Amino acid sequence: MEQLTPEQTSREVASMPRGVAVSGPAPLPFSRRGDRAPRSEHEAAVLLEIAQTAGSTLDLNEVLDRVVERTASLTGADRCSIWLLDPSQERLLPAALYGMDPVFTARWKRRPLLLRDERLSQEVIARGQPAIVFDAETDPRTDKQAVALFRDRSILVVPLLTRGRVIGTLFLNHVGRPYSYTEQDVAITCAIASQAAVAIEHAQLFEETRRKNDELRAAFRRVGDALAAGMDLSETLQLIVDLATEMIHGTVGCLQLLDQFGQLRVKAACALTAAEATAEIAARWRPFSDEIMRSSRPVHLPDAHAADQAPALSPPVRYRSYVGAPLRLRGATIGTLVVWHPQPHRFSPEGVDLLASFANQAAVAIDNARLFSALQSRVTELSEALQENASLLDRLEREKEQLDAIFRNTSDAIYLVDNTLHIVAFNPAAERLLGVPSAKAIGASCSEVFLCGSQANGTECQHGCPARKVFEQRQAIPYVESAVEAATGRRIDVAASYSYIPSGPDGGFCVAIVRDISRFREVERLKSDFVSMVSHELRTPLAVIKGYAATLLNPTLQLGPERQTRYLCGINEASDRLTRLIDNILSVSRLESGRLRLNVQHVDLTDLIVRLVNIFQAQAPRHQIAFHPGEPLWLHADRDQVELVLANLVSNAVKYSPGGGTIVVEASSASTGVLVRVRDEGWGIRPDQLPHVFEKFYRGEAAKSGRLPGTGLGLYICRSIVELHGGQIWVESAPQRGSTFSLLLPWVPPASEPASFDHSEEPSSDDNLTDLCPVTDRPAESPAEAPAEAMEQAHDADARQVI
Amino acid sequence: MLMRGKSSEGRILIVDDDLDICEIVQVNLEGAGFEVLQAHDGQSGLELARQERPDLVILDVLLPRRDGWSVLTTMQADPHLAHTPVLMLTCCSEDDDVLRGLTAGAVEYITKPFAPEQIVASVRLLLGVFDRSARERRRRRLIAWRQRLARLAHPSSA
Repeated sequence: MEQLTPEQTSREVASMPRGVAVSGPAPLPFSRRGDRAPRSEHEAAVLLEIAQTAGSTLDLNEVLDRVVERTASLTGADRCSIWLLDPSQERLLPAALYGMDPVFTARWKRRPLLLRDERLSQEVIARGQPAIVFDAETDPRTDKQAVALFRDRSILVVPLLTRGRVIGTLFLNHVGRPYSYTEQDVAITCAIASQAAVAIEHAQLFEETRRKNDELRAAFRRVGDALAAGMDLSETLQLIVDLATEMIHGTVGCLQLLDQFGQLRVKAACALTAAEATAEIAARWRPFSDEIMRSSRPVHLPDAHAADQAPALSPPVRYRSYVGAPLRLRGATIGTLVVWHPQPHRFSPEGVDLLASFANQAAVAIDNARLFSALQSRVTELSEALQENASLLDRLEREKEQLDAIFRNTSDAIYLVDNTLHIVAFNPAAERLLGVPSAKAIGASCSEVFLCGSQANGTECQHGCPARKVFEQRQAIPYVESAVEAATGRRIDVAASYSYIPSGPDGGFCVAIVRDISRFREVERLKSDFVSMVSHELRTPLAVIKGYAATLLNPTLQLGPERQTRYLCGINEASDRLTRLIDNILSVSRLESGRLRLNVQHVDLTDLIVRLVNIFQAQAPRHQIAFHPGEPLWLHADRDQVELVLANLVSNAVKYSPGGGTIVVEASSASTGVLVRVRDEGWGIRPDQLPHVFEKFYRGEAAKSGRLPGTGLGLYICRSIVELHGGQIWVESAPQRGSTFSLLLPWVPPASEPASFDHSEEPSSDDNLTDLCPVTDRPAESPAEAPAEAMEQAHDADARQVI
Repeated sequence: MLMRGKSSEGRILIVDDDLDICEIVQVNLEGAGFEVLQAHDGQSGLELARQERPDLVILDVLLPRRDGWSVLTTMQADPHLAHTPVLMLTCCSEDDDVLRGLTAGAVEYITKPFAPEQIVASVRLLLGVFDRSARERRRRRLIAWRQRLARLAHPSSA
């Protein structure tokens, strides 16, 4: 075995032995010493330990410290050190040092050595072979200054080899006298160095992985933060492409996504505009994008100028390094993430992996952002719709309130029946009309409420259920006048309309609007009665006039003068009746139209009564009409109207005491005016009729039965005229005990206001027949009660035009 | 109820509460040779008819105590009075009233105001010219005519 000479040993240089690399396959200057054999067992144990350490721990420093220490002790070296090449391949970094002054250790860690200064390291790294310096002081490869400083004599340098790559060097230094390295020394050191290299690579891989992970995690955290911060899709895409470019140290990047037509579109670019990125891809990189899409794998182009690359890339190319990764989502590739660098070989395989991993995560982020975007726009849409709905709801609510108010407050009865003819809605007016509470009506069959089966003639239900007709024909019955019979048994004249409201496939509703026209019917009846009454009333005196006149003119009859006079008197009286009748009708007409104005003048009431009594006495031979005139009673009044009032009262007294008897007229002064009474001994008035006698058209039972003529206007006119004068009129009566009509006329009628009735005053909406013929609620025993309110009650606009 | 004069032409009962009308009818019928009885309410009119069996009754509708319709239907139901011709003389001029009177059995219906000669002429016709069956034919013709008039006036109610 060849022994290394002490001269061959170079002094150890701070870190890197600089020396001439052992060139070629030249044999190493081993010293072959058999006496070293007994160490082999120990060497094996050390190797095992180092291997175990390297395999069991990932703390590189710990591993390397152990390696240098054990190697030194095994070889008897004074110092042992490990140096690693940095990624630039230009520097050597101290990874572990044994037997070195700590001052130097710290210095080297701060200032790595440059490879170009270290000839020994250059040689070892270049050849991949160990180098031995027997005597550093003489060896040309060593730095003599350093040798002097560290007193190195013999140096052994072995490469740290892994997978054919030199990643650094291991130095053994013997100080003082030269040491001859045996073949065994070199072999064991080489073995240890490979173990160390493996450990270093593992650790570097681990570091690399951890760093990559950290970077990825940081990148995803930023993407996640961006998403959480509500960034929209384009912002997220921009962030992704920025991060990807930065992560693998590219200069420009872009992100493409498939559009709805399956075409890739640049959605974001880093350090480029989208248009520039699009143009760049279109010019050169389309085939690579297509390849990424097709294979769903990353494509890495270390140098676009390399001859074996590129289907169609001819220099000059702006970007020589290219890496592109697919964006994969749920098994499909949705786009590409591409990063460029102008210089070649700028992306390591780790960088490519990193980009690929990031692309996978980015695809998820893009998906999230898309979903988020969609969600957000959906939320916006929804909130807009919600707002719209809310305002619509508001409007509906208001409209419903209005409709409800109409439904509740209309004076027309409104009810809805479903197609089984059960009532589903029933308004308050319907409650009033039919006397059934809505709680009871709703849900009930309409026949229960309207008594369809009743025998009342002419009711609508009897003619055939209108609601059923509506449902059968699916069309409205616009207007029908008829009658219904309410559950109360009351028969009500109504005008109704029935409409069909379609709802649902087989259903729908029938809405009925029913107006109580009883009062109109009553008015019509009263009008018709009035017309025939007037006709009758006119015919009677006219028949007398005509009959007497014709008789007087008949030459064949031999009439004595006494008869002729009597007939002429008859004609005269009949004319008076006729006049009074016409006066009454005219008075009503004027009262109704508000044209009756009092022609106020001084009136001697006593004189007026005397004249009237004389006239009526002459026409009523069976009656004794008594009046005892006292002092003259002067008052301010309309003479003609007051005369009409008194004539009506006396005429009534005569008419309603057909059996004759005494009629007493009294007139006297009272504190507020003149009190006049007309008392008869006739039929009297039933208590139930008493409140109605002053109502227009009202006639007592006897009169109504046709046994007594009359228009039903007299007392109505009396009351109206008296009230126009500001006075009062009332009656006391009992059946078969005669009646006493009293009236109190004030000395002076109220202000010169033209007398008129308030025409705007229509009867209230929910009135009925009793309102039509106002009840003058004036009990017989309290005659002085003021009838002031009766005036307007007496007023009935609907019958006005009759007169 | 009053009885005045005698005549060979026939005895007429007038039932009307209007004394002037009674006077007019009586004077004119008496002038034509009829004997006239008066009643001034429905009840006494019916009683007088039963008692005196007049040849013809002139009947008002609006009467105290018993109205003309009731008197008419009661007479028609009474075998002794059923064939006594009744002439309605009334203010009730509606178509309904006229038909009601004729269908109830009246053979003539005259509305007020009237010409006294018309009463005299009708009474002469009904008593002197027409026999019972002729009166009945006349009554039916009058009903048919009135119905036609009513239909013309109120087409919807027919």
